[in-house]
Amino acid sequence: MSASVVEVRGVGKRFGRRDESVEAIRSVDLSLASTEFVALVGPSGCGKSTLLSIVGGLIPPSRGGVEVKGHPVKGPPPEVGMMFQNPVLLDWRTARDNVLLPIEIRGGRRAVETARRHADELLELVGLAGFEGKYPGELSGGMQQRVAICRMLIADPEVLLLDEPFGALDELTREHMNVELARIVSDAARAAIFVTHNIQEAVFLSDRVYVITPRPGRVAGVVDVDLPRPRDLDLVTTEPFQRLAREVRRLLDIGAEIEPTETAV
Amino acid sequence: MAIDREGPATEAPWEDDEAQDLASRRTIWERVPRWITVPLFGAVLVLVWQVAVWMEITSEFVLPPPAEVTTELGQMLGNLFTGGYVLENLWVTMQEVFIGLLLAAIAGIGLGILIAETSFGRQVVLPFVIGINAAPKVAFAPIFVAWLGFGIWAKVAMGAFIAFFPLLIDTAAGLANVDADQAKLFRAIRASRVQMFFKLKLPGGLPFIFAGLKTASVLAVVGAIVGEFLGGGAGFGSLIRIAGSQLAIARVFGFVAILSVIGYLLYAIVAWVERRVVFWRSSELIPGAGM
Repeated sequence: MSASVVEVRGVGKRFGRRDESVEAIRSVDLSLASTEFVALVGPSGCGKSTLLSIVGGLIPPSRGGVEVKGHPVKGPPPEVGMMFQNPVLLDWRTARDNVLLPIEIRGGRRAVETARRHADELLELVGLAGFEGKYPGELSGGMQQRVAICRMLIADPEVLLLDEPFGALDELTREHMNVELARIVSDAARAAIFVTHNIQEAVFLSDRVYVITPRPGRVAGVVDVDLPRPRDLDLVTTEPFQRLAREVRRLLDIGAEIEPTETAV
Repeated sequence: MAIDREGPATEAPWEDDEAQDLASRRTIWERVPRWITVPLFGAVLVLVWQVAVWMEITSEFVLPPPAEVTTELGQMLGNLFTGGYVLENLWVTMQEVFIGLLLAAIAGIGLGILIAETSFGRQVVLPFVIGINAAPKVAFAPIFVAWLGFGIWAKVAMGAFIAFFPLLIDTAAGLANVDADQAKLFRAIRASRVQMFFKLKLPGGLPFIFAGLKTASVLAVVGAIVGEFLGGGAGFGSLIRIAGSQLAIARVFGFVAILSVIGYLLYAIVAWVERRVVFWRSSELIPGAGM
């Protein structure tokens, strides 16, 4: 295993004013190797999305710290690409121009000129060849999310932060997208943190699954997923897969029973 | 859209109950094309008017018959297209409306950006805007006349003054209406404030800004006419005032008809530009915009 690209050390987060604050996350440690795919699984409101936002530099932690490639995170790191539950496309830009947005922000119009071919290649990679000039309003939900994948990849990030990226899609589209995502991430040898509340999805995609407890979010346990790659959907019905899914489920159930004890901050 | 809702008569009503159900929910006003119903309703209104005249509810001076208004309007249009006094005065009013709208657009959008984008605008300037907006704007007319005289500029100022408030409020609302997820995306890709403004907030706010522009285009006409009522000089407002004082009500109706066509055209031009610019969305879907 290669050197870690993301180090999360003792990260805690409280929201609200001091006297009536809510503890969202408590002392989470996490380490991500450079080609590793890690899933954070937990029930809604367990702070897993908050943790991802902290790693992505979108919100600061209350305690502890995050390092990406050895640099402390003080804002969105340039090595990171993010994807959210919704595609978040700009309606007035074509699929291609949406993909090129991060390039345009970083390098201006000249950089866009040179990256245009790359954008079209990415769109082709996710099966959107011929749709480069379409506007988001002309694309289905699944197609929009593919555009969002390309936008995340265009700047060639080393770390992908995926916040329930297919949560808004129907089950069948979602399974299909997961297969594609696994292929794209492993082809380019990238690291990824994937947030979900779907156990199957987590096991299917990951090398390791972090199970997060609710309120405050803590790591209840880590499950190593030693299933071979590349994986296809048939894997889901196999005994080793089921066994790992049961293990994640067990940790989730234990996590739900732990009564959080309030400690002074 | 011209689907035959009657359907073949052989079909029993329960056989395609869903389609039948939908069809039965469509009222007659949805089934008959609007190019028939709208003029028909107009004809009914004219008939009611004519009946009111026949019944001599009031004097013909006060309520002239439709025919007289039509004659008056015909003469006006003849005068208009032969370059007579109607054209002269319309040109004056149109100049006031256009310049007024242009100034309203510059001031409204500019101040709207200031209020939405700076804490100075929000904290310090906004209370003044709300305060002045609460005042009856027509009452400012004597001030504009005193400052700018009896020429077109007092009317331009009146038109711009009345038209600019809704535009300002819509602009500020549109810029503040930025989608939280999109804002998060722009932060994640390390966009600067300026980039965020030009690449996200401004295009995202355009539907609101155009809603404001459409309101402003109508209000610019109102402002110019009010200015002419109170400030005298040339223009349609003055013509209407004079015709009114002579109890030439048919002529007043004629002028008003021409003005509403002008106002509608101006609105239609802005709406046309909007469809070109904001091609991805219609401002009619935004509740509260254009108030």
